[in-house]
Amino acid sequence: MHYNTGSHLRLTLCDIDEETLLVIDPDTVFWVLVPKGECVYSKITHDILPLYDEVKRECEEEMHDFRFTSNPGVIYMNSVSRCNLNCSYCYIPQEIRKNHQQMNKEQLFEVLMKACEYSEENGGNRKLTVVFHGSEPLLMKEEIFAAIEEFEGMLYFGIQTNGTLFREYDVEFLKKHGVSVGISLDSSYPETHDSLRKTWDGKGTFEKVVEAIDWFDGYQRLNVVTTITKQNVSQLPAMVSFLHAKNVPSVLLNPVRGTQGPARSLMPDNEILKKFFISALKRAMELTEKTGKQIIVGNFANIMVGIIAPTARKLMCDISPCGGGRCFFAIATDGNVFPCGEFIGIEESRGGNIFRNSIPDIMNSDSFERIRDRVVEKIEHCDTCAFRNICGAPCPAEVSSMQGNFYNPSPYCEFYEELIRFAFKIIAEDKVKYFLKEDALNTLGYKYRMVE
Amino acid sequence: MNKDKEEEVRKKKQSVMAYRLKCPGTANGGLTHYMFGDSPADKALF
Repeated sequence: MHYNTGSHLRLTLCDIDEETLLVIDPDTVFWVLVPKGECVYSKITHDILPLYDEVKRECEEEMHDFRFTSNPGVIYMNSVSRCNLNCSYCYIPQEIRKNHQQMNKEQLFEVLMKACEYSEENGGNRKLTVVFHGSEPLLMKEEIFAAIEEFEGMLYFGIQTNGTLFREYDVEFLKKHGVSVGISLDSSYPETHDSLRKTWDGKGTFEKVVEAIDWFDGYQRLNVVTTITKQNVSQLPAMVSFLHAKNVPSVLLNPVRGTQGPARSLMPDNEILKKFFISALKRAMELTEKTGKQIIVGNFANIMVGIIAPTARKLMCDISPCGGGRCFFAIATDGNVFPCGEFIGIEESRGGNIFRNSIPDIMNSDSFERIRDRVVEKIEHCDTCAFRNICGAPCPAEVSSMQGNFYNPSPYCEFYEELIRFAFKIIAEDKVKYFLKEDALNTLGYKYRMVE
Repeated sequence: MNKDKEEEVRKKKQSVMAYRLKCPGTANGGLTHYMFGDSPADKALF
């Protein structure tokens, strides 16, 4: 057997750190970590190639199915256009957020019924998840809570909210019904959060949001979302400590997307982002080790999963093609359907209207197919990157909006590259258990395993 | 990091390592781009 000729054309070598070398097939994400002191050539010939040969086909099929199957599992309901906040980086255009439109209860129920029927038509094995999302869903709390009660058992529900409109009994209602909840908090420092997430008349929201997080008190379906900007990037480690102390089980540390113009001036520099994000990960690991109570950094956990169990990813931004118009779609107030919330307001990406078109017709629309057609193999720079099927070059809406054409790499390319390298270091050091739920990890068997 | 831990990490990094986990029931199972989804929280990896 010979590597990099004939059927072994794909193995690539790359540096992880001073001590470790990575041998990887970028297409199947088959990887082997080799200590640099070892004779790499001998290892490849005697150990790696036979294993690669054995599992290559299965990995290939698994990745292909995972990447190219189109089977929506989540609907983002942007059923109210209005928001009580005016965050400077919001991905929903300001003219939409100022516009007081919302679906009425009958329209909302009509959409949810359509979701149930779609699930039934597809064998009914998989219940769809409906996430009430931007602008601010709790502005139509009464209708949404009625929907959660009416469709319980037929759909799963989530709410992504700015957290300012909760009353304590709302929290109890959501816990009782097992609703997943995402709350936005940008800093553990009130002045930083308040400068980023404020009302239209400039008032801060920190106290109200933290009060709501306290009410959830360790609820396992709570996730805090922190949007990273130039203003809070250096505070990420402190944010992890703060949320850990508040019993928050998981946090998403999301670099702000430059899809909308006002957000671009807030995008953190890649070098600074790498430094503080990795410090935050180290902080999460220290806290977990020290206290036995975990805080998961969701977007890093997803990268880790993308390496050790690629098809178990939960977040479908860092896969190519992305989940937009494939695993999920977003519905605006007027019923217009977009591949993802990031595309709302971008007319050419509209796939139809939920009140006039069927879900299969929307999924088969040209605009959705165009998003699904964006794969890393077609992007110059990504097409030769060893990490291309771990990172996935997110996000098409952001890249298209910033560069006029979505066949370009992510503006955070260097950041993703460094995170993936860090994930491989964690694997080499056998510390994965600090970043994923250990109980769940222990229940999974190995598809293949080699440790020498 | 104390010396024992440094030694433990060094030993682990001296191994050749490759693995992939089985993910039953998650084919195309990426669920959503946020933390929501139909996977029960107690069975999810994160």
